[in-house]
Amino acid sequence: MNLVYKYIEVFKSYLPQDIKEDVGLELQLNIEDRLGEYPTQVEIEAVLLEMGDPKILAKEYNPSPNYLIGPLYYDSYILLLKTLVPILGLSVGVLDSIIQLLNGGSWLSVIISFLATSFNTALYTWGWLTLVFAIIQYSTKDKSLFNIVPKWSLESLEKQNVAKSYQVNRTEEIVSIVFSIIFLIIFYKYMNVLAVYITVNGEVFSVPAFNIPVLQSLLPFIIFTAVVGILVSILKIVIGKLTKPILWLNILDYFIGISLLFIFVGYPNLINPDFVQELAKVIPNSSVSTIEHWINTSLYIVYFIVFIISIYSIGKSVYLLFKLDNKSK
Amino acid sequence: MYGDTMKDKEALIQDFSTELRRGTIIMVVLSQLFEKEYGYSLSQKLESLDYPIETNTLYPLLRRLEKQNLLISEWDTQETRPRKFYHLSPLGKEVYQEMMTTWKNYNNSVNKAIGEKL
Repeated sequence: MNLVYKYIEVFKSYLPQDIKEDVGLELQLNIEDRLGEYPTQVEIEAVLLEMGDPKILAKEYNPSPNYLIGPLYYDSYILLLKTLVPILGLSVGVLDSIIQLLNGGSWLSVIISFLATSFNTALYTWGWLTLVFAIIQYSTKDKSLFNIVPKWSLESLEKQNVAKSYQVNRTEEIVSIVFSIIFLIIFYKYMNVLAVYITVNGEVFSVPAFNIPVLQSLLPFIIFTAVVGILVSILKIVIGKLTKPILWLNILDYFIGISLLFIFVGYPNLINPDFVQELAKVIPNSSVSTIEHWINTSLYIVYFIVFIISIYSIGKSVYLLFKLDNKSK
Repeated sequence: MYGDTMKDKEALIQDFSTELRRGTIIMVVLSQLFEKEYGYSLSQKLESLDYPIETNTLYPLLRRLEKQNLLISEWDTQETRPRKFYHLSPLGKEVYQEMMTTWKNYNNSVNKAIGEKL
């Protein structure tokens, strides 16, 4: 009978706490009933073998989905996996190689570093994607995603907007995710590479273009904005349609982007003053003030373009939202 | 090659039979629980009815049906050995009646469909 108790113990260890004792005792008594008072070892073994793996048996008592990412999200997950893992792996690898080359790395070290960086990035991308999707799956089970996924009904057929303007352009979203991540990596790791390189007595010095401590203090905002943007893009790909909540999220996303832009504008000392001086020395017929003027003007042009694009996108989302509201009335 | 197709055929038939049977298991289990039974007694009863259900299917099923409020369970500690008995709840009886009607209609239409082709 010793074997039966061992079986029951293993079986119980896989059961949820609240039913462990009850179910364990019930199974034990049923097995004992079946075996009678003086079973032979052979009989005991036969019964246990018929019951099968105690782990699988315990699972039968507590059925929960056997998958990390369910059918509702599987396609989007695979799509992002197939695109993001190779694209990010390669592009971050290339980025890293360029920087290694700029820093005077040997070809061999550049190749090794390229392989390592690509592999790491691919692995990270795969891990994070799986985590994000597992969280989506876990938090929504197979119910609709916070009601963002529209429930299917005949009425929903009537209301559903099959117009092209309401379809999520998956390629656009993937490109946006890739750029967000690459920018994030540049900000996080390679900000000091954008620099003037000067040679003094045969040694190379670099004077970074940006004021690194200032940028670092902005880093939390940059990361926050990028992460929100990436998550919104993933949601859009999962849902595939610009529904009301998605449009609202889109608007929110752009507002966060504009806020970050204003934070940037509010930091006048973004550019490293040493960089301006070095540049003035290198470029003929220029002075510190003209260089400063030139850099500031181009910065403001960039800010302005980003601002206009954001406003345009908000406007577009509001317009689609408005049209959707009118249609559902 | 031919042997493989034979094996495939056997496997397919096995799969289809299991599917067919699976649909009837709950109905049969409910049908036997108008009176109190505990796990082992029920499995014996089913075996004597030529409808054996493997214990590793039957025991978890009883638990699930109880969770769905179709069965009521109680521990009987009066006897020398304690036992957990199951019987149909009022809801279980209603559901069983409905299933019987469905089964009979279904049986008729299936027989009508395949009857001439046997």
